[in-house]
Amino acid sequence: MKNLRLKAARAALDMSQQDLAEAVGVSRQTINAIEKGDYNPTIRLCIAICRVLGKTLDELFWEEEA
Amino acid sequence: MSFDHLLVILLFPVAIAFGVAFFLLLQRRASYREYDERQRLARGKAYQAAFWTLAAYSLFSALMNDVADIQWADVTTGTFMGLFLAIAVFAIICIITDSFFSFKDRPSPYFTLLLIIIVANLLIFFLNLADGTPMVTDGLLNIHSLNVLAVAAFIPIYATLVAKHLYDKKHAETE
Repeated sequence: MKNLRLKAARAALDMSQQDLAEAVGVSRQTINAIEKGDYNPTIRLCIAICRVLGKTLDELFWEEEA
Repeated sequence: MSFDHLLVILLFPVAIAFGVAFFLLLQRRASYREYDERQRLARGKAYQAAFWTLAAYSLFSALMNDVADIQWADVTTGTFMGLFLAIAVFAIICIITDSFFSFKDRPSPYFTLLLIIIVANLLIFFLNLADGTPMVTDGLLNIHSLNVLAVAAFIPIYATLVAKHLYDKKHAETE
């Protein structure tokens, strides 16, 4: 499932995928894969992304059951 | 055992020693290759695929040899064919899954390095051709065919690298 909240949070800070990737120490393709829902990041990376984007884990990664 | 075979057997540990020394040198450099968690996972899967490719090739060649009495290369060349195949599988999967380069790497030196490997092997192949050195002995590929086999393995890797690079360039702006 695509993570549009992550993409929106990143865009809100006017950050590119490359900017976010550098800030959390991963490749741009990894950020892209997370946004596209192709890769489930570890909790460590989730926390790093949340810190950079100023969001909580719930706000970016919690998925409500359909 | 022919002189050529002896030479390959003697040179192989030297080549491995150089490889290890190069790896240790890279480790000491500040720009030591680092892979992120997704890349490490993808590389693990690529190693797995390469391992099973090598296992399948070895089993296939053993079966063909023992059951059907069909051989296509001498033992040394056959072994290297399996290795080239496994390396190609590993590298192509890594390239496709964006885990070939670490996230700190610049790809351009690798393009050059691969091109040098391909050109050098092609050069040796053409020199052998010009010398009239046979690549086949008793109907089996011999070690003189290794250069062209290496080219056959590295060209798909290089082509995948170029294709992926162009694809990424085209799509990077839209993502």
